[in-house]
Amino acid sequence: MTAKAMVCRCEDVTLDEVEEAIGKGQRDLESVKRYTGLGTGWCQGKQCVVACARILAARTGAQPELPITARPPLHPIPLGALASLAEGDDA
Amino acid sequence: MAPRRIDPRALPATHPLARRLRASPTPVAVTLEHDGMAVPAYEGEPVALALAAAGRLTLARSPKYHRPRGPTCLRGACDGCLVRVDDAPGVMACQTPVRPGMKVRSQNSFPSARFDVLQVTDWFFPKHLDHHHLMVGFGGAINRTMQSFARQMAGIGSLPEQPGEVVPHRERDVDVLVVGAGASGVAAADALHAAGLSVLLVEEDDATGGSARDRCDLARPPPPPVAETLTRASAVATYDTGTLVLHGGAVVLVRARARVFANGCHDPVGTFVRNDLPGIFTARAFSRALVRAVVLGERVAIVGPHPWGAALHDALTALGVAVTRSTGEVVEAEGRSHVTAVTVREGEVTRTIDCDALVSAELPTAAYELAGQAGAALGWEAARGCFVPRADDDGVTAQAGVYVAGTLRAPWGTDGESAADGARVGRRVLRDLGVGR
Amino acid sequence: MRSRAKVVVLGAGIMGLATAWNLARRGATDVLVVDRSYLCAGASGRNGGGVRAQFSTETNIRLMQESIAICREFAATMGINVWFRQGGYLFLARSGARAEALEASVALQNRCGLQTRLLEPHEALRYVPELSVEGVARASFNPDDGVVFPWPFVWGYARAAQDLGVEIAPFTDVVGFVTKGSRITGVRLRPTRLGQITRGEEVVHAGDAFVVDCDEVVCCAGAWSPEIARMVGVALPNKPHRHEICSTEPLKPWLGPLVADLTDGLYFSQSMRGEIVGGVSVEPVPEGVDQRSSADFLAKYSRSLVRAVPRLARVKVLRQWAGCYDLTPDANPIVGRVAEPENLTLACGFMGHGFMMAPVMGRLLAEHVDTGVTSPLFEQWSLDRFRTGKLLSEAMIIG
Repeated sequence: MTAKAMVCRCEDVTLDEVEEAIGKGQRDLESVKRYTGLGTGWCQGKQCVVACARILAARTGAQPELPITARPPLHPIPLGALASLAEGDDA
Repeated sequence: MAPRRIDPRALPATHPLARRLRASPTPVAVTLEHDGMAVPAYEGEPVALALAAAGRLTLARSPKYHRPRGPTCLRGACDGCLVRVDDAPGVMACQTPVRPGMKVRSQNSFPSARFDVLQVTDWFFPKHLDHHHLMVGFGGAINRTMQSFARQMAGIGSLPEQPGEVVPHRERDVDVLVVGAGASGVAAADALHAAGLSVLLVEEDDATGGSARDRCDLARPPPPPVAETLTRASAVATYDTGTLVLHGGAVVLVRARARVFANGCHDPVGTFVRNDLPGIFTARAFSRALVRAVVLGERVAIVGPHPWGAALHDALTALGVAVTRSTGEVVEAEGRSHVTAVTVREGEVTRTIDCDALVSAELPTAAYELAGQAGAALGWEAARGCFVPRADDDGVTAQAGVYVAGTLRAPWGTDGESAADGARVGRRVLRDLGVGR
Repeated sequence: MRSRAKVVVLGAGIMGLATAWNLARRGATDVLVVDRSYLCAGASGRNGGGVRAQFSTETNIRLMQESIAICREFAATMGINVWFRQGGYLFLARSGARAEALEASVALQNRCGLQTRLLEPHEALRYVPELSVEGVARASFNPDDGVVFPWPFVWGYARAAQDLGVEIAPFTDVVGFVTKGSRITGVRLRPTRLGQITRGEEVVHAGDAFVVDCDEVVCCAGAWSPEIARMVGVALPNKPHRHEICSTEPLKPWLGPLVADLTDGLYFSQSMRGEIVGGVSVEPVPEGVDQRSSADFLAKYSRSLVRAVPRLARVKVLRQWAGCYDLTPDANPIVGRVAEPENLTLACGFMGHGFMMAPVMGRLLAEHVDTGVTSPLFEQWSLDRFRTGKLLSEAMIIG
């Protein structure tokens, strides 16, 4: 396996890639997330948001402020399980 | 291959792990199928653990580079154990209990996750694949061809073959919903229950006890709560209108006057070269496997400051497993499709440790997401190096009716302290709900 | 930051950035674009990436024909991949009235030169075999419609504009205007981030307001336009309207077109990463700009989607988010100058199709601001029509 250090394994975002994004002016978590796809995969940031925040703090000298917006759901939910909640609503 | 089942008789009888394993119920031996091969397993255990115990640790391939992936956290918080189970894509094998005859298959790989021809992609892009600028200078037609190809490469699981069911949901109305049956959640729930409130405690794991239940140095798991508890019940989404709990494939919509989030922490793996190799586990994952009678390596390296490092070292030594412990920092892991060595830096000195399993023993980080969804203010806690929900000493957050307790709120050193915190938050909830002292 | 600019563009979404880039290409490089947040924070970063020419009015059809052509060449022109995949849009109509309206739209589209086909329900299965067409009366399919990945458009326009000398200032809020007579002479701004910006020798901290002098102002602030326009005495009839959206786990490619149901507002497509991205109408919505997610949406969307494609029942939702449509009373945008202040140009009210129109609108707006030339389009879409009663219509609105 090649010498990549993974920051976001779910989306295959490497440390290299995060540093390049910062170099290109993406200097906050939300911007890095959008530019690299970090935090938008299976675990929705459970592993990588903190790692990325620490990298940003080290590179920009600014303390992290907020994580990426905590969006539902925390774990993946099947569509078939959610659909039941709307049964009985008017069409 | 290195991971294997533990025979409790191989441990000294007085060792806490031996006592713990002996007290566990006798499992029922069954068979499941993985990529066409019959694999022995125990009914009800996590599929990922059954596969690991059978030496099958490379379960998945990563989306862009097709790097081999395997279970890492064993708690449904990473991508390492994603497989197809029967007709369902994208199933986390660590969160799925073994059923006899289930068909488990690799995804996103050819012919299988174990030997995927597309791993050449990793070599083709040794640094990284810049998808923003890939083949952008070649003109429209070539760029569009590249896009077609990229689309075929994308995606992990496949659309199910058969139509699926709409699964009926359930609804519950309670005074207090407590999320997480670890030390603080149980203390809060039981205090509220004792005061006569209707309480529902939900726990995503298959039993209560939280992190203490995964410890390999305790002879017994913590006692169960008194309050009504649902296990294998994961609170996944919380809104002002209610909380969605995923339980047995169905949604339970829970409406509550107050919500206490006691859902603890995530366990990160450090950021170092090849940190995604199969055979790399968190301290909690490794310990979790031990108390389920599976040891995930024969030559184990434990690196990092996690407080369970010593207990793991002790248990592995008692098992006759070669173990090296370092409180330094991982620089690089080595291996082609499985970890074979780790280079660590300890102050001025760098050394390489041969191993077939690496425990990346990093400190836990607060699992702030649910509290954030509920409207708690979030902020960076420099001392812990992670984001936390902001709350006062009683666990009160910026959002009315939303409380946080336990290690989600503060890095309590012992279960006793975490439980005391839960009890304190419980008392505050009682006060805020106007219930007599 | 410059202390004066010939043109100040309010909003660094795709509309503002496309306008700024087009201005700079015409030689008008003294442009400052301001935005209250980070790039892609607004609708430009939240939409599903749909790009279509299937509309019910000739104006919209012709505009989108040009926009689609721009999208096809965007990656090569701007040097950033936007993943424009022309898999077509499949519209579904359930009632007799909607089917008739769809038939009329398709006929008009054909007259404009689109390849759109009107379909019987079973013919729709040719394009999406997994679809359930129970209850569908008529369908339409245009193979040239498609989906893009929205964010690179924003970065592409931003980088190209900056390379030409345009200044882009994110995290900068508009807090007021300085006027003299019937003209705006300056825009009052305030940095929103902790930190500061430098203007010559001066350092401005977050919380301090300052003024940038200007000749022209273009308002491309989407759902935030009414509150900005109010600051300079212009009353806009548009209202922000929350639209929720969500995304599933990534699947191997199976869905070619974007499918849109005109009855319940369900739409869904498969992104370049393989996720099914889509939304559905939910009523009521909260007042104002509200970008929070709801359980109600997940429920309605899941039910609609599983009815449409029953094989999706075991597929899982990974995340949900929301953005705001910018709705006008007659489903058409508000574009062009206002009576007073005379140097304010509006470009808002694009309903849910502003992103896809921005490439062509950017060109038209830049031409208008730079040369003063007024096109019939700007008269048709002027704010004044609400006073004179010359309201328009558009039937092919999704959600």
